[in-house]
Amino acid sequence: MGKKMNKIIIAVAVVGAFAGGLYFGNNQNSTPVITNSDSGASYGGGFNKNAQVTAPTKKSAVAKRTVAGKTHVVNDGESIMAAVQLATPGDTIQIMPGTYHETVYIDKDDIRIVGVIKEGKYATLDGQRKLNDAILYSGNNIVIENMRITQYKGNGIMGQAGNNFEIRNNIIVDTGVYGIFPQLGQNGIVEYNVISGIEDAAIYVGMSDNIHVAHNDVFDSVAGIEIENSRHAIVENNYVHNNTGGILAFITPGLPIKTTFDVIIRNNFVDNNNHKNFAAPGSTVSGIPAGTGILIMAADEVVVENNIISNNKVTGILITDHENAPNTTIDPESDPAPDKVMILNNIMLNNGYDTIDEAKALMLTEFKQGNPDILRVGVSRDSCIINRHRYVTVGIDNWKECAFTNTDAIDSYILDEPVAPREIDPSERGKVVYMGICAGCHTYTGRMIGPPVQIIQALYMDNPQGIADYIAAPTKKREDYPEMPPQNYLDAETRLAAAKYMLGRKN
Amino acid sequence: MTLFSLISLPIKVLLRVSLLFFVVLSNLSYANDSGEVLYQQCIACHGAKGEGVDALKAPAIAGQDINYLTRQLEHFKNGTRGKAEQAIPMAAVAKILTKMDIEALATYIQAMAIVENANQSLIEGSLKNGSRYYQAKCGACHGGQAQGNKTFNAPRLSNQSSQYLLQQMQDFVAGKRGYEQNDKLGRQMAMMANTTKGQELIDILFYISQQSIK
Repeated sequence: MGKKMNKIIIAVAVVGAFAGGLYFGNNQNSTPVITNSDSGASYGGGFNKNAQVTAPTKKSAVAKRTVAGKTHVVNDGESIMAAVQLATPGDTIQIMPGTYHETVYIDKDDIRIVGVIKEGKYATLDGQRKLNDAILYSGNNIVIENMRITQYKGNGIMGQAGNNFEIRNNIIVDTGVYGIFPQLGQNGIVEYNVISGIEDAAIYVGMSDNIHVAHNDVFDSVAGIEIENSRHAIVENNYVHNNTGGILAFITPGLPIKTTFDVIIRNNFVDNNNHKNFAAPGSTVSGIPAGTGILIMAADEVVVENNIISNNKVTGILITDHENAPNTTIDPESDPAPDKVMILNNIMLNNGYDTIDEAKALMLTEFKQGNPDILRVGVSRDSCIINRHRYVTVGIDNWKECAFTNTDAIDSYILDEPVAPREIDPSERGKVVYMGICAGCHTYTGRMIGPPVQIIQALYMDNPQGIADYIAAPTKKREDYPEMPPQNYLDAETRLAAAKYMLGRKN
Repeated sequence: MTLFSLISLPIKVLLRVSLLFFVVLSNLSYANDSGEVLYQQCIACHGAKGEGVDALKAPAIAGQDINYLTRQLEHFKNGTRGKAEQAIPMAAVAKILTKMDIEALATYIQAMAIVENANQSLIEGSLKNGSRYYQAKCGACHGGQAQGNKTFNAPRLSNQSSQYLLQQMQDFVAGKRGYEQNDKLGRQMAMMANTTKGQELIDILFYISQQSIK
């Protein structure tokens, strides 16, 4: 009885806190501002290409090959990894249809993994629920295409600090925590992939820059497409459906890169993202309410344009700061507010029909009725919208009109010339491993996939060797956390360097 | 303990100490007693069912992990724990327990059924904030529902007195628990205790208090 009362008191307090953070509308009944987006100014974007590029070329992220390398053909029953070991930069690994039970590590530059699809039969990497990762690459200028990946426990395809990558035409089914996960990469394309059944993010762009995510079919996962602690990203022409949350742009607190900004989410189908949340309880994504079309949390300069956003039961677009998001801690070095959100024209159909109590309470504060298409909680500065009269909105009445109506002037944030390969000074090895690998699952202060770094620091204190040993062959220690994948592809010295760096982190 | 330091202690503590000495002295004849018999001397503070008594700053102990119980009794006995004022009575009792007594007691207490402590004074806070910071700072060792995790030697916190937990957190921060170099587990906890305070800590304690007792 006492506990029940406490919960009611908390619920009221939470609603009060939300209402306190709102702007109260003053122009609900005034004549709507109708903006024709066929003409008008175009949004300029936040990335100045001219500062880094030379002549425009066909859109490609990897460096052009000037000398034809060797093609290594891998037949069913052979090892892909063995072929990678034989390969030198410039080579192509051609994988014939068949089933391969292995983890492929690519720590060389300019390698192309190309599956051969023959009459619908794929080269399939099958982890059999025993292996953790299908493909891990740390090289630059990597292409991975036409593969089918299934039944891994950790990652389908993970990039670890590799620049200039192209990941396309892959089918990834029921594969662990992340489907396609470029971490700490600049200049990359993720396109034409079909990804489903992922317990965190189907596509997770982490701590990266200049990324293009397009034409993917993403469904039955907790988070569809995540742009996280990343900048200059375009998410367009994707079909994102039946996930818990569809497309997400946000800052995860406690990661070594502290910002997300300049993200364009346009021309996507965002439909029916009402899947029951099956993430590990207490983890960041377990806080996503089932029924969220697009989620913008703490990210700045996010444009949402010309998406068809339909049948998402909580709301079409949810904009929140860290304070109001569940399972999110505060990082003193990250601004928790989503600023300069820009909502241009979108088709909104049948969203918010079974929304959360917090949304209903917020609607009451604005004397609104109906099902919310757009819901904003917490602080958001300098945000804008056009044609707001079309939608049922909460928390955006006082947003200004955008000074532009489209993003037509921005074709892509992919660089015209690939960036230089990341050169790693030996003294920086621990840091790069921490950022490129560890931070994929561990934040400093929060529970992402693995335990927070702060807790690891307390557990291991002055014992970096303990970490280095553990990560080579981890054992399951926490029933409610996914098992850590072994990092034994890193040599002992590298593991120790990463462990020392981890113990020295302050944020 | 000097007379002066005794005088400087609050009357309440003195009363508890004397009460305990009475209980303990009356039981000194035990040798290789069963856990059940040995437990009689614990009842005065921890309750007949091991449910804990807030007024005496005695935690709930019924059903707690045997390794944790053993370790804490040993720590009280050898001085690794017991610096805090409210821990003095417990340290005094532990000093006269033999290794076998500790083993028998820990076995007995672990087997006691967990009972909800109706006498706890609840600390009110925000469940949402408590949940996020519990998961961020505590759950990785003490379990997502505060159920404890043997792998990390982390005791169950659910059904524990909020007042007791608050006191322990303050003790860890103040160097009155987890202060010995050889007490690595205590030092780990002290390190984490230093990462939270104020309303956030209150919210965490509230979250713990709302978890199921199992």
